[in-house]
Amino acid sequence: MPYGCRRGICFGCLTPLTYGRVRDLRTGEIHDRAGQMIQTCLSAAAGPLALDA
Amino acid sequence: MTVTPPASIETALDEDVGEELGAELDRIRSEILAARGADDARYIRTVIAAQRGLEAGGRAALAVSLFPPAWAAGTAMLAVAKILENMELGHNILHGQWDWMGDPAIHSATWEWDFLTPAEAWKHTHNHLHHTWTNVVDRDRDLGYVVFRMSADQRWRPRHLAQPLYNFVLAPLFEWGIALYDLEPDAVAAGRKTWRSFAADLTGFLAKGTRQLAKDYVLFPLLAGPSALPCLLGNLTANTVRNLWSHTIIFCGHFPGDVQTFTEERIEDETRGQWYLRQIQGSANIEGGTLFHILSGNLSHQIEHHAFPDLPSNRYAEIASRVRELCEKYGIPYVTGPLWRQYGSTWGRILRFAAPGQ
Repeated sequence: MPYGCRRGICFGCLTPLTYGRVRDLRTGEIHDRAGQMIQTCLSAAAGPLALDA
Repeated sequence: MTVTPPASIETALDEDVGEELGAELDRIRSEILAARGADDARYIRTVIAAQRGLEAGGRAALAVSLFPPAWAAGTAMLAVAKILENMELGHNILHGQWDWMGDPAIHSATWEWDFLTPAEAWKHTHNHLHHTWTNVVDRDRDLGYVVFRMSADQRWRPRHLAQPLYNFVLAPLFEWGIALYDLEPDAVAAGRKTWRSFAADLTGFLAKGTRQLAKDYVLFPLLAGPSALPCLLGNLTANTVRNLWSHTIIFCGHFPGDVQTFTEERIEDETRGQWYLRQIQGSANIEGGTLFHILSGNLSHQIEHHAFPDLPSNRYAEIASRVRELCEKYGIPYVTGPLWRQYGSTWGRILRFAAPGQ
């Protein structure tokens, strides 16, 4: 999977979320839109999911 | 001047206060994130529309540029369009500042800009390396761009004597300099980057470069028919003007004399508060009006940009007064000044470190 700064600054880790839910570890926000680009370096799984990595 | 750590900051900012500053800045960030929405989206779409209008108008005028007023107007419009596209649009969109809209056309993953260096190459050296290692000697390659010596902690070499000349030559050719810099040839020589990776990046640059040169020096001149030559010269002038402007603004971001540089020891176990402190002290602002801020891509608010690189650029002006207040409250220097002074100070730094013994 691509990565950059690993601390949420650079957006170098953007990966499409194919399906499922992830949680933004900084804000607690849940992302679950299919195809949404997520910052994998600060996201955790919030259930089964698939990434287009 | 290198901070390792500076006595003045230690006395003014003990650990608790450093964390207080971090918390206050985090609070500003949260407020902006909560308020971010339709108004911001409208802003960027307006700038995009304006930029496209200027570019279309500029190129249309250059299509009949045998007529001198058309050449002048076309070149001016195209120069401003290129400046806007690179600074307020490209730099900020590629930073991910507008990814939150979920608009695939205005997103860091898809935007390609009217600048020689490919977006992918630039995002690596800028978003990742520069913004993580900001002003850390021997880690932040932007500290002199491998060519210039900008800190007493960078080893002097005889070639640095000529750095005022390098700066003079670089300015009109800035996009070429950045494209070459983004290939990271020094990293290959030092073994930090593989030849395979370099070859891939080089391929990307050759493809982008070919498209850029074909667009401005073949396609549009040909479309201009009898105005081909003035059109080509107008495009060349517009690119050069954009290079001169962006070189000026970008060099003023971290090179005015009072901006701090840091050693690797200083950033060991860096806390969030200390990270903010390094971003603030490692950056310089430029004073000006709203139009100036937009044309500089809001890099006139370099301090705020470095504290919050992923917040929408139109928000930096309102954040600036609060950041400045916090700096005053905690006794942190806030480096700013009018363009002529920041630019002069940057040249001063280039001249100062060109010589050994500094």
